Amino acid sequence: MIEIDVVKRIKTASGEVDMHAKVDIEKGGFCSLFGKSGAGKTTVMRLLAGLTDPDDGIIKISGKTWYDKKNRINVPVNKRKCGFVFQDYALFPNMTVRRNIEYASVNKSNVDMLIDMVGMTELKDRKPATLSGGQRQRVALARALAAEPEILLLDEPFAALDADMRNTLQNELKTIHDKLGVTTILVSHDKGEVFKLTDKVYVMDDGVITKVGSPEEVFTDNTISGKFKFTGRVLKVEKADCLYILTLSIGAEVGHVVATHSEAHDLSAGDRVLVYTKAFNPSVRKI
Amino acid sequence: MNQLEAKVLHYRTSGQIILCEFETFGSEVTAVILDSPGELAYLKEGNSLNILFKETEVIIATGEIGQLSLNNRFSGRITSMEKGEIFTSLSIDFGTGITSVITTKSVNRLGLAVGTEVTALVKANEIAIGRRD
Repeated sequence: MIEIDVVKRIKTASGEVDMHAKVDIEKGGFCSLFGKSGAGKTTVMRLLAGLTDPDDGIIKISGKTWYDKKNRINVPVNKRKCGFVFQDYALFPNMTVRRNIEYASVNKSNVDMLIDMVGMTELKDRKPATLSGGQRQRVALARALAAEPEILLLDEPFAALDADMRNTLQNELKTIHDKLGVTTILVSHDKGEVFKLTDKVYVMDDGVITKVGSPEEVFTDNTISGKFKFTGRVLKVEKADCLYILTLSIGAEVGHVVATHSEAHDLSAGDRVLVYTKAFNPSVRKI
Repeated sequence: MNQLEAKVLHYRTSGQIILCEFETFGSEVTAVILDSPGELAYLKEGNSLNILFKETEVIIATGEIGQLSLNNRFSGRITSMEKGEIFTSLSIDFGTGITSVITTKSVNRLGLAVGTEVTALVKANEIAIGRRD
C-alpha cells in the first residue's frame, strides 16, 4: 500500500498555487496522474523520488515512511527504492545495453531475464547511440526494474515515440507489469494510454486532484449522453464492403458492431472502446 | 459517427425523456434523449455541445420531399462517394460535412453522383449529444 498526502507551493501557468496530492495505491497497482502540462504531475513524481521536498505531508511506501514532516523523517534519494523512466532516456552512453542494466541491478542473475523481457537480447552489446528511441526506452525500463524498486515511476515515458512504437511499448509494459506486479505510477496526458494501462486515474489541474476513479468512471461519464453504454475490448477488426465489422468483448459476452471508417480506422485488437447506442434502439424479449 | 457542433436553443422534459432543439450550421435539429437534465451539466440553453449520429442512420432524399415525420433535414451537395458492392459511403456538405452510408442499390436507383443536391434526414431518436472538450 502506498499513501501519499503532500502539499507543496508550486508555480503553474496561473501563478503560484498550493499543490496538494493525496494518492493511495494498492500494492501491485498501476495508477496514472493525468492532466495538462504544468498541472503538478511531475512535481508529485519528484516528491516521491525525493528530488524535491514537500512543504508538508507524509509519504508511506509499503509500511515504510519515506517522508513525514511532523516527525522529521526524510529518507534520502539514494535510500528510496524508486525506479524512474523519463521521456528522455538518460542511459549511460559509454556503456552497452547489458552494462547499463547491470549497473543498476540489485541481483545480477536477473539481468538477462530483464533484457529478454524487454526484447533486447539481440542488441545487448550495442551502445545507446546506435539504438532507436523505442529500443532506448526498453533499456530504460529494464534498468529501472533491475533496481527492484518498491515503486516504478514513469513520466511520459513514450511521449517522444511515434504512434506505432508507442502502442507496441504500451502493450509490452502492460505484460511486464502483469508479470512482475511492481506498483507503478504513470504520468500521462494521453487518455488512450491511461485507459490501456492503468486501473486508477488521478486527474490533476492547477496542482489539485480534481477527479479520481477508474478510467471509465473518470473519462466516459457524461461525455456522451446515453443510458445504453458499455466499455469493451476490440477482439477483431475486419473490413466488409466500405464498412468494418468489429468483434468486441463486453463483460463476459462477445458481440459484433458495424462501424464506419471514422470509427474503425484507428482501432486494432486489444483497444478499449466505449460502445453506446441510443436507448431507443435495442429491442428486448423475455427469455 | 457524425459529430457536429450545435448550440442548444431550448429543451423540455417529460419524465426521463428530454426533447432538445439545436442549431447547427444554419439548420435546426431536434433530438430526443433518455436522461435527466441534472446529470447533463452541459445541456443548457445557449451552450455549445456535440450532436452525434451514426452514418448508417442518415437517410438520403432527392427532389421535393412530401409529408414526412422526420424533423431533421440537412440540404447539401454530395462531395465524394466511396462505392462498395453493397454499401456506399457519401460525404455531404451542407455548411459542414456529414457522412451517410446507404445501399449501393439506392445510390443507383436515385442516380446519385458527386455534385447531386440531396437532403440528408435523421430521426430525432438517433441523435445523441456529447460534451465538447
